[in-house]
Amino acid sequence: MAAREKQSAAGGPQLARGEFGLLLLALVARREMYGYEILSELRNSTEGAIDLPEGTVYPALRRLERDGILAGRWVDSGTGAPRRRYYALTAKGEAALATGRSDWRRFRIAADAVLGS
Amino acid sequence: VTSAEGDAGDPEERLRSHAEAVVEWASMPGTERRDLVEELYSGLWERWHDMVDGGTEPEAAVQRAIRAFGTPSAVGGEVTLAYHSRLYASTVGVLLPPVIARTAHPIGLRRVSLLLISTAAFFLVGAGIAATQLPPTRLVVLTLVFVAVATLCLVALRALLHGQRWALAFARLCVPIAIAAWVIGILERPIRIDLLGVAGLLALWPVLGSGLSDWVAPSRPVGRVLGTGVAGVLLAGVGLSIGGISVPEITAAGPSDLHLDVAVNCTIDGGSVTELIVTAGVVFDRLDVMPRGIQPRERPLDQIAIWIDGEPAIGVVLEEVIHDGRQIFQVAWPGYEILDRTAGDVRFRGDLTLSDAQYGPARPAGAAVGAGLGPLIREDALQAGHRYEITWDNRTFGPGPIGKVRSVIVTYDHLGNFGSRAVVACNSSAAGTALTPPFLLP
Repeated sequence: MAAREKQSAAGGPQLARGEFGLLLLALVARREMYGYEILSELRNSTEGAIDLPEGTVYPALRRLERDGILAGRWVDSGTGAPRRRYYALTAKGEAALATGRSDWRRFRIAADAVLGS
Repeated sequence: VTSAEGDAGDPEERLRSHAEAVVEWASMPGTERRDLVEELYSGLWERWHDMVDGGTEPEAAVQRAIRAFGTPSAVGGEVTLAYHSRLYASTVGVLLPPVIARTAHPIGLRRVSLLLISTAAFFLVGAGIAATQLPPTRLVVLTLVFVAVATLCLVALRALLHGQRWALAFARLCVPIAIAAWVIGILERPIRIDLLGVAGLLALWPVLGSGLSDWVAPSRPVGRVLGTGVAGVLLAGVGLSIGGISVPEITAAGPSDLHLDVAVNCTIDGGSVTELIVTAGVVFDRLDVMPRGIQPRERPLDQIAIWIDGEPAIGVVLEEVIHDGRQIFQVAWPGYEILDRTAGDVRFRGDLTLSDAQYGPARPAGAAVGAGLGPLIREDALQAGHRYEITWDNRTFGPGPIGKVRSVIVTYDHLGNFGSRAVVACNSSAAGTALTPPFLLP
């Protein structure tokens, strides 16, 4: 896939892999979440503008976990539903999120200067 | 690997089946597969359950949940990238995505494995020979290709054990190659039993049988580009194993690097030549880099020879000697020297060469050698830019006139690769012209 391979299902903005990861970190920073919950939050927070193929969020979470940015754990959900794998930010993840936010703001200011806000 | 989207059956089983299909598509550590299947299934189930709670029919909810989740290839590709580099994902990740075996190992699997191992061994031996005995360009080209083919065979072996269909196609391609190698080996040396050919024949039946086709059926094709590349590497290896010696050797001297000049001085008495002095000079602009590879071994040497009116001018005497316990024959050419005019010293005398391989079966001591044999010169003792000069004085070879002497021909043979020939009349001189083998006879 190309750098901006994440075509929104709704035809909205495309996300590069790093940007998608940054969004995941920002969502998980709110509270410990599992994959489907993260997708729902992403859809609600962006009012459907970013609506990815749902399966792609899980490999992204695994990659962040392998990088030590997220920590995952299994939680029994009870009531006959399958177990859920919850993710939380690690200390390294908090630092990565802070850096990512700072970089994104600089990028947005620079882009606005060209495109006009 | 197929998705469960269109199947009938229990919704939860179909959701799980889709999660398994995604993971089967991916290349990732086996220890994490089951864990990821559980996570993917959990996500699918949550989506499905939300829709059912919202009033969607369970069957329709299954289809929508699976469609929203993404295809096994799309999500499986993302999973592969989560664990591997993009380069790995596009090559090895495609060739070696483990497939969960659904049947017991077919009976022919072991024999096909033997075929692939034999092929890998064949090319590794070839790489070893290339690495030790070939000049640099051929060494690099052949070693790289042979090692690539051997590696590919081992990757195919592993892939076949994981049920990959490309590996079976690769093995099937090896069969005719193995048989061809065996047949060629028999034609060259009838007594030889070629391991590769035997392995090919052993593996022929199961490779062509249907049991292995069923074994690899659940796997996916690797794509035309990668498949062509895999076949191309194998065929390149086979081609080089047959014609590798034809790879242009850019580190070797060529005909234009060799300069031969010859001068003939005759003393004529009563219409016949009574004394004939032939002086030949040889200069190389450059010489071969490692012409025999990193492990020098006995090979044809440079040779300079002379004919007078089409007949070999000088008899060479073979003396029987014992060297390292072997009976060999040593060329003894009384009275000749090769001078390095540039350095001002004698570089070679008439005791340079010895080889029973060179001269064939044992001959009685003192027998004359046949046409064209002249002084043999160790190529690695020469230096580029130096002029080497050899003089034949035919007074030393018996009384009586030599004859009319209409032409003197001198040839220089460089390792059997190329040479130069000069045709000179009495009391004149000439430069040599380039020759390609065979060129020892005038």
